[in-house]
Amino acid sequence: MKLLIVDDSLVVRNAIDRAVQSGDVHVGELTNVHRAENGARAVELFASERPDMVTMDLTMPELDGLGAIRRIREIEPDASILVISALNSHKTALEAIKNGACGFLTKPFTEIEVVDALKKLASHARLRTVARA
Amino acid sequence: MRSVMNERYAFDRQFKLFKGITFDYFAKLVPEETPAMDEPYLVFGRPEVLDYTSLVEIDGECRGCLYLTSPVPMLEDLLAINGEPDVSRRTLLDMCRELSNVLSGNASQAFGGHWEISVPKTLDAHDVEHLNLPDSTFVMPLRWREQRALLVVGLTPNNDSTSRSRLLGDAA
Repeated sequence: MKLLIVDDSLVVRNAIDRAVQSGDVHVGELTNVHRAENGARAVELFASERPDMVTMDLTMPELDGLGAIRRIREIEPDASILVISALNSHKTALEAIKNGACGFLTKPFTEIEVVDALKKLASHARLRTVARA
Repeated sequence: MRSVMNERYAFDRQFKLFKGITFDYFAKLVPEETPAMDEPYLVFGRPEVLDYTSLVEIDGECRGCLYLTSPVPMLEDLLAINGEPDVSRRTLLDMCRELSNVLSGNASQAFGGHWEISVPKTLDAHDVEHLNLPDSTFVMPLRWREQRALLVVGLTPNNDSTSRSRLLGDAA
C-alpha cells in the first residue's frame, strides 16, 4: 500500500510518518510514503503516484485541504482520505466528509490515535480494492 | 455601561476558551507536566516578542488574530514531545507555526464552526510592532518547564469594518 501525507507542517508530516513506520504497528502493508506540503502538490502527487491512502490537513497554502480533496476525488472518486486538522468543529468534520473524506482526526493527536485512524483507513482502502476485483 | 459589560464578558469568554485549549494541548501530549497560566493583561505600548513568533488571522463570528511568541527552549521541548529529533531553525519555526495553528483551530468548536483560520505566518519584532491589534487584545503568559511563552489574543465581534489586510498592516 502507498500512503500520501499532506500537511504544511514538516513536524506533523514527520510525526505521521514515524507513527506509521514504528515497528510495533502495522498500517496495512506500506511500501511507499509520499509527502506534500500543500494541496496543489498533493493533487500532483496523487495523480502520479496513485496512493491507496491519504492524510490531509485542511489549512494549507496554495490549495487548501477541501479543495485538494475535491480534485483528488475527480481523479479517484473512492479515494481513501483521512482529514487531520486543528479545526475541531462538527461543522468542519461534516464538510470534510461531505467533500469525500472517510475520516476525521483532530490535532493535536497522539501516535496511538493516528495509527488507529490509519488502520481504519487501510481497511477502507482494502475493501475498495476487493470491490473492484 | 452595557458596552463595558459586553467587553468584560467577551474577555472572560475568550480567556477561558484559550486557557482551556492550551491546557488540553499539554494534557494530551504531556499529561504529567501541566503548564501554568499567569494573570492575563492588556497590551499597552510595544508588545513583548520572544525568539520565534507565529500569527494566525481569524475570521468568522470573530475577527482578528492570535499569535504565539516563544523562547527557543520551549520550542525545542515541544519538538521533543512531538518526537521530532531535528531542532534546526526550520523545525523551530515550524513548531511555533503549528502550535499557533492548533491553538487557534481548536477554538472552532466553541464557535460552532463559524471560525476560519489562516495559514500561520512567521513574524519578527518589526512585524509585531506594526500589527494593528484591537484595543481589547490581551496577553496570556504561559509557563511550562520553567520557560515562559506568550499567547496573544486580539479578537472583535465580526460586525465592524476591520479587514484582515488592515489588521496585518505593514506586516502583511
